[in-house]
Amino acid sequence: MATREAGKKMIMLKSPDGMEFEVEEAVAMESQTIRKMIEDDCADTAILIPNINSKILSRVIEYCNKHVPTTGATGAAASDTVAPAALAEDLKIWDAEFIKVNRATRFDLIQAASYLNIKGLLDLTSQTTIDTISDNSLEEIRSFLSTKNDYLPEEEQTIRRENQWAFQ
Amino acid sequence: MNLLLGMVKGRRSKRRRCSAANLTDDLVVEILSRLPARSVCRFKCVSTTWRDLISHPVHRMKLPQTLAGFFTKHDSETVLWSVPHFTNVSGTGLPFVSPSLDFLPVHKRIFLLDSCNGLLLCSCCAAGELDMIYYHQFVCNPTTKEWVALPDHNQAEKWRCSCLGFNPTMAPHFYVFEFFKDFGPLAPSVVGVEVYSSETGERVRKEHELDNDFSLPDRLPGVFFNDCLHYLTHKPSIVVVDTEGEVCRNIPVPVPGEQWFGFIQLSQGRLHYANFEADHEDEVVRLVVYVLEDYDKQEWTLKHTAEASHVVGSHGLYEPGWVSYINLAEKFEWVAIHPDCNMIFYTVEWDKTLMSYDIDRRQVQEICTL
Repeated sequence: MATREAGKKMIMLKSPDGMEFEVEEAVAMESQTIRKMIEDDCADTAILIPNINSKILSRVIEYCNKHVPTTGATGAAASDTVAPAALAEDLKIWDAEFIKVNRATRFDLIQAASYLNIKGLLDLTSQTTIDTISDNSLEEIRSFLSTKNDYLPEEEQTIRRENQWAFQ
Repeated sequence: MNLLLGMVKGRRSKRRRCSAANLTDDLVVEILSRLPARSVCRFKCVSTTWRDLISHPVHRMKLPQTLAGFFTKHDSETVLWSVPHFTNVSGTGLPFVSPSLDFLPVHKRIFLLDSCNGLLLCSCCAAGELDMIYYHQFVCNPTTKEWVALPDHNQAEKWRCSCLGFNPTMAPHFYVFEFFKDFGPLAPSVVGVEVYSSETGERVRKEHELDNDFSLPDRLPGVFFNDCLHYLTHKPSIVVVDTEGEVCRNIPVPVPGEQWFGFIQLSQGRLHYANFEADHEDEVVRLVVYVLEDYDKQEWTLKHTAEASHVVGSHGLYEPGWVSYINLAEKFEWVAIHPDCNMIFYTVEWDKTLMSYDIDRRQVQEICTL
């Protein structure tokens, strides 16, 4: 473990609003997009992450820190005595707390997870969104998505008839 | 009037702007792909943008799909053999399947053997051959026109019966279960099952004794569920065979006795069993639908019951002397139970009129004549 501690390489991530985040390479490589950049030697000093502001980027880094395999944010090695099942359970509880954010932040996180290609975060944010709205009424869904019903009355009648079974 | 038209026009022209909180279409599809098919259909009603997004052919590949329709055999006017035909029951009227299967390398005489979650298993006669001794089996996707030819058999048993197993939510590969039976001088000399896996491209062969555990399928279709094939036998029970060809369980059916009209399907994630049952006290025949609520404990729950005459007409009356006291033989056939809602499809009469029965509303509807 000691050699790995010593050999830790740091990567600088920059958000478009000028903030800089120094993170361990392993943590940054939770993002497949960044991993590709590092592996292709396109990331010597700092990586600019476009489209993701510092507030969202810091949350993404927080997520990656927690989810990087075997070591936690503080570099403390995950004890060999802790069962994998317990670790998974711990992560689940942590995820549930992490995703308690407002709708706009969650959509920003979805976008960030997609752009940075972090499967776990994309799964978490998407699934939470789905769980929030899947059983809601049409009006609730529309208001959640800030979408207006633009069907003409006869069009709406047809589409409702075709999909009637989905409303039972 | 002009003003009204103008308003409508103006409203329509704004359609393209209402994307969900600036998420790209790909991201919206990514999120929707986690929903069950029922919810995806509900989202189509949110707005025209969402309808178009969900109906887009590229997006449709990623989104969960529900029942679109049925493949059936039709007598052809130009050739001697029957040709496959697709009957759309989804109401959307989009021809997104190729019913003639003309993309297959051999498509002169196609026999549909089974279908499962959008894939078809068919056998086709080799070119120039008129008998069915030389034939090839294919598994194809009529929507994407992809196909796989199954390897030819090493052994030629007299009797074979094939079932397809495919669950795209669990794995991208499919299985073909082929039950076989060959006769000795007195009794079947060899029975068993061969399972072809598209993952390995090979068949696993298991010969069995006909005993309490193993029985050949008595009624099809089989149901592929939990990575196993389930089929009704005359025992009566549902035999569960895994992809190694081993029997891993026997589930007793809720209606004992002859399974002339017994039928199993997967709907809303649970195994369903339907049958007709004669009530000798009231002298009526009833349609009964059970659902296997607890798979491990093998507990069936009665989900629905209705007088058979309401569902299938006068043939559903109580008639002593007929099989199971019901005069349905050859005039009734199960087609399916809807995978996502409480609806049963079946055919009645000699001309095979396709009907649907809405369990929740108790409504019978004629769809078309096949």
